[in-house]
Amino acid sequence: MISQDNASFLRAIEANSYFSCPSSLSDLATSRILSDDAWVEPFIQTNRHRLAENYTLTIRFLERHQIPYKKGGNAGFFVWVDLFDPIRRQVDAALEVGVPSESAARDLENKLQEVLLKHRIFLALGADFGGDVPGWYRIVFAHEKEYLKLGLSRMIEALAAFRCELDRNLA
Amino acid sequence: MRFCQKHNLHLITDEIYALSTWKNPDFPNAPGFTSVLSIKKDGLIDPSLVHVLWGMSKVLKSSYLDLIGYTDRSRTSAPTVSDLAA
Repeated sequence: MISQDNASFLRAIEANSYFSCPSSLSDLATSRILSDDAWVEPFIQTNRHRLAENYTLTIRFLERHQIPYKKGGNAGFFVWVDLFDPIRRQVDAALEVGVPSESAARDLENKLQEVLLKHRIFLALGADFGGDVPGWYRIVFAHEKEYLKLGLSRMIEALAAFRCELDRNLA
Repeated sequence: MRFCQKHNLHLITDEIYALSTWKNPDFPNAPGFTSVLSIKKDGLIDPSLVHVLWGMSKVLKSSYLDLIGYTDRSRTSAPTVSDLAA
């Protein structure tokens, strides 16, 4: 909480934070890091540069595999992707078997997440972050590049496996 | 800010990604990030109603350091960490 002109408010939250404060070592390390301009400035610049590089790597990969994503981001370290889009035909067919509903689509979303986990990849479910359309997931791209590429290729493998599974179930 | 001032509301902005902005090559002219701290509040809002959330969790991966209290009462010295809350 940064509150530059409200000393009484800061005094009030100080009292409560006493019960949930981190160790004095973390406190000291944090203030030392932030006070070290010579270290912080290049760190932040490098961080920004690498985030932009990894974002670009990720979206170009998504474009090659025709996976829609939310465009225009310029902060943070994740990108929203629609993993139902490349398997739309199978998803729609699976939903038509039962009564199409929001919860049926959410079940399918959870199933895809299970398949992703089997391929040793964890993507955050859009539903966990208030996503209103089923099938959207959140890719964190702040990884070493080789690690990121491996994760993205596993995501494609998982998606292909899920497509086959849905086809099998409908056959 | 004018709206908050008019209704005597506190304005709390979440700037957790303030140091994690970058250039998107597909949108080179996208507006950058502006912190509410950098806006002059004269004639807009009582500065004591304005608060910002920032922490070490995003830029330095210290997940447990989510809230950091800064105070800069003199407004001339560098901010000092007055208080940390997990």
